[in-house]
Amino acid sequence: MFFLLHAIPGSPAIAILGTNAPLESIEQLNRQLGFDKPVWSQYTSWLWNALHGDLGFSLSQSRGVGSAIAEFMVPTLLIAALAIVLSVVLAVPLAVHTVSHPNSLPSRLLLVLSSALLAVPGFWLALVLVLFFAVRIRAFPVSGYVAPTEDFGLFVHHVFLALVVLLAYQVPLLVLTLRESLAGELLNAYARTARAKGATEREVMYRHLLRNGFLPTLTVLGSNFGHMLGGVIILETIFSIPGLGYLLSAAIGSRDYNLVLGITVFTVVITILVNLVVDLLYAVLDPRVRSSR
Amino acid sequence: MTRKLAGWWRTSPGLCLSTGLIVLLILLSLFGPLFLQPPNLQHLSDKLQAPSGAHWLGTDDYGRDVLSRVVSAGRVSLGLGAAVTASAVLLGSVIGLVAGFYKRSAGVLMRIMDAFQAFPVIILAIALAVGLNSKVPSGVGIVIALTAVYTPLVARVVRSRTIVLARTGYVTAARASGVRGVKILLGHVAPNAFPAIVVQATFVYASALLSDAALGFLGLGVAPPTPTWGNMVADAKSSFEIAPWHMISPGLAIVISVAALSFAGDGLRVLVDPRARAVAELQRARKASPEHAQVPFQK
Repeated sequence: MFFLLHAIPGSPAIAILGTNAPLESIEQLNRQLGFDKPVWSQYTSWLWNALHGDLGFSLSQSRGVGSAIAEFMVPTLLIAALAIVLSVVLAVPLAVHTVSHPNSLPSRLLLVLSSALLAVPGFWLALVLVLFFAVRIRAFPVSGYVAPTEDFGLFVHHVFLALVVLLAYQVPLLVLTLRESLAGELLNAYARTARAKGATEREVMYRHLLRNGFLPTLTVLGSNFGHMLGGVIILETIFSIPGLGYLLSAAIGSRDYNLVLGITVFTVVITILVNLVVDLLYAVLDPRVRSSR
Repeated sequence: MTRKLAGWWRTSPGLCLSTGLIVLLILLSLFGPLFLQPPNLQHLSDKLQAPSGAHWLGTDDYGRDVLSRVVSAGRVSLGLGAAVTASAVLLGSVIGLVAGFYKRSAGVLMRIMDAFQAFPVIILAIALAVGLNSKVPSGVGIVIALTAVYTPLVARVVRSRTIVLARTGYVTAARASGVRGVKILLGHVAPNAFPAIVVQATFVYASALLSDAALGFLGLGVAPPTPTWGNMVADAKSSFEIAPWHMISPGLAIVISVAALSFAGDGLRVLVDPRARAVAELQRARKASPEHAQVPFQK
């Protein structure tokens, strides 16, 4: 990743001083910033500092990369977390319904709709929603952001459309995986036992099947977190939400290597952490994983 | 021939419909541009017109015909998607087969794949596209970036299939009769892994179209004025409040092609994957008996 970014032509000094700057001052600034050293030595010193928690200095933001990320990460992570919680809350009853009433009209509609929604590109859906709900009937603001600590109602009002776009992908994905694993669990003997002892369909679903059938969904949730973070980042550029996506597009525009690198590393670390938590949760929820150590 | 087609239609109508749609889309984008006006022909006096008899889908902010641009963009987008799929599937299959068959290589190969998978898809693609766009023509940069993203997915599926296949009786038999490892891999394991690879290919194609569109939308795809579905939506963004058709039609083109591909993939998976088949049959059995009495159980 480091070497890739250095392959971008045009040095950051030119980006700061403008293309018409005299050659001597460009060279002087390059020297000052350490960009005249060979790529290898730049890499080793960056890696050494990163391991100590120092991601370097952001030229376009005129401050440390760490502090810039810390400020811009809040909206991004907040929206991602909200979308995950809401998608689970919405997807579980829907998936259970499709399994317990496979032939009812709502289930069949839901399955077709889910597959169709997975094919919709998020950025396009966002624009369509903005067109209908923000431009035509003005139910929501076109763009902007209010921190939830300032005014929670306004925060929800501003991020609502972005959340809908994220959920339009996340919920169908969860419904389809959960439906498949629940229907697979239905093949097992314990489901028949539970029914035979007279448990209601609802009890069978929530008490017996969901406990076993939710595990694969958890994996999907974890491995999809990165995808969702990418989605939030694209949506931020549409709704002008001051999050990591906004920061990333600004950083790419001004060839701020340190910042692009910092954001990429940060999202990767977050994704890995989320997957680690998922793996640990697995051990909590499934005794078989614990005992196989 | 017709009887065979009718039989397929009965067993999986969804698969037939979606395959037909895909073939139609490919033919349309291959031969459509021959009958339409050039996609970059500008009539500045006719800009941002609503759909009409002369311009079925209206015109964009340079007065270019949106229909002809959507169709030519299909050539670029579907073509790029196909190139990504071909290279990711080829590379992923080789890596997956080798890692599944030669246990010692798995450690190194799969750790490299893990490293690529740790990156969120869009972020990896953005970073790669930013880095590569200056070095190579933009189309090639996209193909390389998305190949890097999708190869691990294919490799993972092919590897797990290979591990299962390597334990089968006929592989043991082949080994016992002295067939060399490479020959077993190519002659016995690879052909049996093929159906799983085809299923995976349709899903890779579908998501490559989506990622390509997202990159195009962010301005990292094929450079304008060459139309792609992604950069058309980006173009339309500036005027979508007054000219919504310009934004909606390329988006619909993405939705239709991605949906057709993933429906086809689902249909194929039911044919190939025993677990998916069991689930589908379970649902069908319930259809036959609305009460849950006669559900077939495995154990």
